[in-house]
Amino acid sequence: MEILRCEGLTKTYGSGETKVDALRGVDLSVNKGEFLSVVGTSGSGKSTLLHTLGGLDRPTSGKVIIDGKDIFSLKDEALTIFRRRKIGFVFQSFNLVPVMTVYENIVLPIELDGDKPDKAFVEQIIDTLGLTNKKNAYPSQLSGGQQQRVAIARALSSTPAIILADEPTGNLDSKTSQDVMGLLKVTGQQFAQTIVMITHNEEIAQMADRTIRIEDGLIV
Amino acid sequence: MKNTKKASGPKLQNKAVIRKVAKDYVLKNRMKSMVIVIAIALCTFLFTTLFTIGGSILSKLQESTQRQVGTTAAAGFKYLNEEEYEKIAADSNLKEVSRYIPVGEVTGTEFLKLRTEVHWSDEVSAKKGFSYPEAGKLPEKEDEIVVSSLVLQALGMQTKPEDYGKLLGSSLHLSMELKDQETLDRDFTITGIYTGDRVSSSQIVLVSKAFQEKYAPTPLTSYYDRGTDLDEIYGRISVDVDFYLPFNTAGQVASLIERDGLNPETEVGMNWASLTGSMDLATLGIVIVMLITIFTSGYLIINNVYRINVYSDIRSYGLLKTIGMSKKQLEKLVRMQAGYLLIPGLVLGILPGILGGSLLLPVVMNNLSISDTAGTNVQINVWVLLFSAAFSYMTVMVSCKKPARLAASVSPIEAAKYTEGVMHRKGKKAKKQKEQKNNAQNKRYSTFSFAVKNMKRDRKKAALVVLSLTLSLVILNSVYSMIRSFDEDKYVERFVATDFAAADATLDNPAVRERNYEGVSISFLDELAGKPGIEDLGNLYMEETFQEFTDEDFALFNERLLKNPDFTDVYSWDGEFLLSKVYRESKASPVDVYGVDRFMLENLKVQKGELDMEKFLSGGYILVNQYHMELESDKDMIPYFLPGDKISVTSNEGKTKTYEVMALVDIPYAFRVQRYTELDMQYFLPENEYFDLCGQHTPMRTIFNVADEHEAEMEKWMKEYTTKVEPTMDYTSREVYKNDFKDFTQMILIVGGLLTGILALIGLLNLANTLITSIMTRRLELAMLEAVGMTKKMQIRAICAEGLLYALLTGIIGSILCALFSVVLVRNLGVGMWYFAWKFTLMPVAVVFPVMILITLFLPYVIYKKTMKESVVARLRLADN
Repeated sequence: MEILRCEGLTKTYGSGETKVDALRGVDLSVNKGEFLSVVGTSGSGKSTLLHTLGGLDRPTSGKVIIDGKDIFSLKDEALTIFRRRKIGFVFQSFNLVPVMTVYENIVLPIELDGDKPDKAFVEQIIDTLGLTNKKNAYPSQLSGGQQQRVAIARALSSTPAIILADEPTGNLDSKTSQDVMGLLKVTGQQFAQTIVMITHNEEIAQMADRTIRIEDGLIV
Repeated sequence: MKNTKKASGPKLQNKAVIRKVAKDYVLKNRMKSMVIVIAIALCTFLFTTLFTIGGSILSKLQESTQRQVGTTAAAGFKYLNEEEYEKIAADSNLKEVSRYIPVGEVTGTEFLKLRTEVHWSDEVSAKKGFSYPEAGKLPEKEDEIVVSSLVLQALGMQTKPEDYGKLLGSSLHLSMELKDQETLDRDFTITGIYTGDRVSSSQIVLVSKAFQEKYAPTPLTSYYDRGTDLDEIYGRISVDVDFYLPFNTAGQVASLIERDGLNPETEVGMNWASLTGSMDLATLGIVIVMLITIFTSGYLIINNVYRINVYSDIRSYGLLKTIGMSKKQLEKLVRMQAGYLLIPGLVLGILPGILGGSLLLPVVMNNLSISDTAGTNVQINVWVLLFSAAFSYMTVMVSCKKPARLAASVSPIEAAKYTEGVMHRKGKKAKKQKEQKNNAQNKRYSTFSFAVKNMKRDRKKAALVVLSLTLSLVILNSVYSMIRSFDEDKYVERFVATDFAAADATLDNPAVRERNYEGVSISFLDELAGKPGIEDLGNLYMEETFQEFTDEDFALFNERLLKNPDFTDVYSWDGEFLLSKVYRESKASPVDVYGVDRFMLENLKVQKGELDMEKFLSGGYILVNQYHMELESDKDMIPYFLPGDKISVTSNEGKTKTYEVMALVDIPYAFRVQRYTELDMQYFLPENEYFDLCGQHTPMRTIFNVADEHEAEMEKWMKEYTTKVEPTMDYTSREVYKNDFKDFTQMILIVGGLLTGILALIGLLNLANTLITSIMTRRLELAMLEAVGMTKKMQIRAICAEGLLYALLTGIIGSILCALFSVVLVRNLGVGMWYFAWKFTLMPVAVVFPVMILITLFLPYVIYKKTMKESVVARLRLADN
C-alpha cells in the first residue's frame, strides 16, 4: 500500500545569478512499512527533498501526498498539526527540548495534540530503545547516541504514518551509528513504521530495504 | 630571572587586532549597538539628571552657608599687621591669599536690624566675600564706597538689580563708628552695588584704601604681642587663604602657622561651610542608599543588554576561539566593544541629563528655602559631569564583566549549539533529577508549565527582570502613598488660621536669625483699615524677655517642671547641663511675652482654668502656656504655673508687675513666633497691659478675615503692598499656602514620577531584552518544536504565558514589597511631619498591574512575530552548520 507519493517536485532557491535548483522534478513512491534510504553527496538536494516531504518547506512546484492527503493544500497551521499527527522527525542534531526530561520530550508531540499518551505503548518504545533508566534525565545529561534514541522514541510515540530521518547518525561515531541504525530498523519493523532516511553514508544506507540515489536534484 | 620571563612569555602586540575586531563587531551589528548605546544613554541621563539636581542644591546650600560665614575662603587669619600678612602672602604652598581690613561699623536707627560693617578689601577678598560689585567698581577715592542692595533698602531706596547702574555715582549719607569709638558722619559716592543676602551675618560696605589708611591705619605692632592694646581690631588685617587640598583644613592651618613663623596664638577662623563637615550620618545614609539604587537600576539595564549581546554573538565567539583567540583576548574584545559604545552613549545621555536637571531644579528648589540670592539656575559643575560620566563608565564596566567572562569561557563546540539554560544546568544535575523524579510522569504538557520551565532556565535573569519591574512599582507606590498621606487642611491650618496674616518678612523665615518682632507698620494698618470687606482683625505683639523668677515663682517652677520626673525623663540626655546651668543657677528662663487683643484672645485654646474675657481685659491677670513634652501632641503637658498663682513679669524696659494667672492656654502655630526656645514659655497680657509694661510697640503679626467676595481683591492688594510698598513685610493667606502645598506635592510627584518612569522603562527594557534573548537563543529549539508539530499559535501562547508570568510575579512580589514599604518606610518618614496622616494604599499597583499584563502579553507577541520570520528549515539549518 502506498503511503507516500511525490510528483514532479521542484524547488528553486533565489533568482538570477544566485539561483539554485535544489530539486528538479522528483517523483517517488513509498509503500507502508518500507525502510527507504536516500543517498547523495552534500548539495545533491537530499535535505531539501526530506524537508519538502515533511512539509517543513514548500516546493516551487509539484505535489506531496501522505496517507492520501495532498499536504501542500493545507495552510501553515493545519500543516503543522498534520505533521505532528502523521510525520515523525529524527534530526542529525537530535533537537530535544533542553528543559524537558526524556519522558516529557518523547510524549511532547502527543500532548501537543491534546491527547493522553498511551502509557504502555510509550513504555514499550522506551524499553525497546533501552532508555528505561534515563526516563527522568535531561538531554544535556545524555550521550549523543542516547539523545538520538530519545529522538527516535519521540518520532515513534505518536504512531505517525511515516518517519523522516535526516542524517540520523551524522553526529555519531561509527559504533554508535550502527547501534542507532539497528534500533531504528528493529523498532520500525516492530511498530510497523514507514521510514525515509537520508544519508551520505553508503554503509548506513545499505541497512535500508531500498536505497535510491539523488544527484543534482534528480533521482538517478 | 630568565625563567620568569619565559613563563610569562613575551608581550604580544595584539591590541590593535582586538581593537579592529571589536570595531567590526560594533559596526556590523548596528541594531544591537544602537540598543546598547540607548541603554547607556538612558543610564547616563538618569545619573546626570540626579547628580545635576543634587549637585546644584548642594552647591547652593554650601553657598548659603558661605554667605552666612561671609566668605568662600577655607580659613582666615585675624588681626594681623603688615609684616605678618607679608609672611603669609609669600607662602608658596597656598592656592590663594587675599585680605581685607575692618575699618568700622555703620550706625543709625536704620541699621539696628541690619548689621553693617565697613571694610577695605582687595579684589579677591571682595569676590570671596560676596561683596564684589555687580555694577560699578571697587572704590578708589576716599569718598567712594560699594554697598549692598540691602543697605540701600534699609535707607529707603528701592533697588532692583537692573537699577544698579542708575544709582552709581549718586551720593549716600552714612554714619559710622570707627577706631576708638570715633564717629564719622558724611556723604559718600556710590561706585558699586552688589546684591545682599539676609542670610549673611552682616552686610559689608567697602571703602577705599585711602579711607582705610586715614581712619584705621594698620598698626605696626602685632596684636599677639602681649602688652599692646588688645581691644583694637580696626585697621588690623584679616587674611583669607585657600589651600590646594580642600580637606584637613585644621592641619594645614597649623602647619602654615609654624611654617610662616606666625604667633601660635593667632586667631583663625575655619570655614564650616566646607562640604564634608555639614553632612550628618542620616543624610549620608540616604545619599548612599540613593546612589546604590541608582547604580543598581543602571546595572540592571546595561548588564541585561550586555548579556543579550553576548548570547547572540556567542557562536562567533566560539568561532574566534577555534581559530585561536584566548580567553583573555575574548574578554578584552567584549569590554572593548563596550568602550566603543560608551562614548556615544555618554554624549547622548549627558546633554539631555543636564537639560532634565535644569528643568526639574526649579520645581525642587521652589520648596527649599535656602537664601535670598539662591536662584533656580543650574550650576553646571564640571565635577558633576565627570562624576556622572564616571558613574556610567563604572556601571558599564561592572555590568559587562560577567557577560565578558561568559563569552570568554565558552567552548567552541558548545557555542555552536548554544541554547539558553543548558550551560547553567550542569552543576545542579543531582538536585534537578531528584526534584523531577516525583512529577516527571504525571506532569503533562501545558502552556503554563512550559512557560514556567522556560522561565526557570535562567533564574538569575528572571529575578533581575522581576526585580527591576518591582523597583519601579515600589517607588511609584511609595510616592503615591506619601502624597496621599499629606493632609492639605492640616498643612494650611497650621500656617494660616485666618484668611490673611501679615508680618515682617524675617518673622517666619527659618533661615534668619535676627527676626523683626515689630514688622507691621502703622502705615500698613492705616491703609488696611480703609479696605472693604474686613470682618475680623487682630493684632499680636511680642517681645523676647529673660525672666528672673522671684524665689516664690521659682519654687513653683522648680516644683512643677524642673523636678517633675516626666520632664527629667525627656531632658535626661542634656538635662544636667540645661537645668543646672541655665535654670537652677540663674533662676531665670527666656519667656516670650505677648500682647493680645480681643480677636486674638478668641483664637487662643484654653487648656486649664477659665478665661473670663472682660475680667482679663480689665487688667491684673495673665495667661500662660504649658510645657509640651512632645511638640506636636496635645497630651503630655506640664504646667509651669497654675491658675491662681501670682507671678511677676519684668519687661525689657525694666518695669515689673505682678499678675494672677487666669488660665493656661495654647496659641496656634499660625499666630506665634514660629520657632521654639528650650522651654518655650509664653505669657499673654491684654493689649493695653502689654503697652503699659513693655512700651508702645507695633504689632508682630496682624491677622484678619475678609468677606468672601473681597478675598481675591485683598490677595492682589496684599501681594502688591508687600512687594512694592513695603517689601520688608510679607503676607500669608490660605491661597498662598494652598499653592505652597500644591507645589510641594507636585515636586514629589514630578520627581517621583520621573524616577518611576525611568525605572519602569528600565524594567520594560529588561523584560523586552529577556524575551528577545530567550526567543533568539531558542530559535532552533522553537523550529524543532514546530517540526514535531507545535503550531506557531501554541508557541506564541507559551511565550506570552512567559511574559504573563513575569507580570504575575512582579504583581505579587511588588504588592508585598509595596505594602511593606508603605508600612515601614512611608509611615516612618511621615512621623516627623505634622501634616502627615499615614494612609495605606496599593492603588498604584492596582492601576499599573492590568497595564503591565497587557504589555507583558503584547511584547512577547511582537518579538516572536519579528524574530520568527525565517522559515523553519532555515532555522533548523542553524544546528547542522
